[in-house]
Amino acid sequence: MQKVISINLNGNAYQLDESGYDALREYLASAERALEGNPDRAEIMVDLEQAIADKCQRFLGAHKSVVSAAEIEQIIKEMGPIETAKDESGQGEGGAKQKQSEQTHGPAKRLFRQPEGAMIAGVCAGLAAYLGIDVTLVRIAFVIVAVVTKGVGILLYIAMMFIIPEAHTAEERAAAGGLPFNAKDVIDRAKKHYAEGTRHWRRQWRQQQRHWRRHGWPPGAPFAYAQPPAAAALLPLFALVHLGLFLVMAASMISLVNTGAVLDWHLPPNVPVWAGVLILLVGYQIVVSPIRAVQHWSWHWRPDGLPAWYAFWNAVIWLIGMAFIFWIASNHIPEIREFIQRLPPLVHQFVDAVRDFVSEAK
Amino acid sequence: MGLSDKFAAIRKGLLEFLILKIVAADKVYVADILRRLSETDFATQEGTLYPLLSKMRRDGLVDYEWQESDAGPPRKYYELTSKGRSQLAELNDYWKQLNATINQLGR
Repeated sequence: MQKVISINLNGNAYQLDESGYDALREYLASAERALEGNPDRAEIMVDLEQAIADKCQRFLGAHKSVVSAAEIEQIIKEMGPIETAKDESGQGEGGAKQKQSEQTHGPAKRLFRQPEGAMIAGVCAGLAAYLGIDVTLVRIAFVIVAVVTKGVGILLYIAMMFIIPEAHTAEERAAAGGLPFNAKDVIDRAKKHYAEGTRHWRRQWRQQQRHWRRHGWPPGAPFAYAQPPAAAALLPLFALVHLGLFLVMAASMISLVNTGAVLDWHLPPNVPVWAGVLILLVGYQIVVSPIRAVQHWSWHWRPDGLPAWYAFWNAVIWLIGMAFIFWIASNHIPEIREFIQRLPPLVHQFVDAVRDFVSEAK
Repeated sequence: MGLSDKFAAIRKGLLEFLILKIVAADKVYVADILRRLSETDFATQEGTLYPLLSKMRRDGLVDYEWQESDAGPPRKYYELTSKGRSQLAELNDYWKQLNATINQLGR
């Protein structure tokens, strides 16, 4: 007489002999091992269990409610060994071998910082190796982005400095040379840094609170945080001027790219269009920076001090709004469509010019 | 080494191609695919087919949708994506080319 064990296969209840149960459990465990590292492992396991359940059904009838060990054996034979698609050897010789073949499968192209040949932290060198272009080009692009975005590019560099791992081993250095970029790695790292950062700031905040409790609020703080009333009244005005300037800049840019002229003023024939665009962008940043400074200043002088997330969402909403307007405009205004079509060659000309410049400098 | 062992590697490589062909012809679920293959030299088992199908789905060649069945739980019915169709066309061309090459060389 054999003991009967009830099992649950993907929501279906079955009764098995004890030895049949052992064999099935062994089969499913080996399947799980074989699928180690497979992103769809859970789903495949459910599929396999369902397939086994379907096969069990075949052996059961009105007067037979237990699947025997011999029947389980036959089912397992029908199911066959788990062959992952990557297992080229076909012999499935233990988990270790399969694991190895999975790790070597597909060159893991990754982005690393390269400390050798670095000027600051090797972000540019790593990017250049990853993109397969000259380091100098990447550096120049970074400087231009930093100037045009008024320092956001520098923040970007600092962020990448923390997020992108440094190539330490020879293997990592080889991987930095140009293999696919492992996004998961970057996200994991960013999460880790974020968690560490929040822990750090929470600690600081608690210390600050303790300090306040003991010593009272810093003297004069309520006065220092009081908002100058004039700036508050002028804030909408500044925003309006800012918007107006932006529209003027955008209109000039479109006109410049499409016709090579702004209000009858033509670019000199020896100045390429991309240079005109760059000058326009830099000029706009210079004109707008005092207005922006006033806006920032008045934000920071609010009595409660607007939190950082406000600025963040402000920027996000602004970007989404701009993208939407741009999309509508590109569908309905032919000038805008022309502008967009003319942009890619412009970028190419710019890149070519920079490349020529770099090769001459060498 | 028997003749069929000699061609084991070839059969293995061709399995994905055949599955593309079967899925292209009809909306099928796994038992249908196994039945179609079992009549051929390419008889395959669940242990091989499920991982292969999940890989093909990750590669964007096939996709499935759940459909109620008359008996038992709902089943995954597979169909080709547009990428799967274009890859099948390419494989078909390549196969014809291979055939021509084999027929041309010697006799």
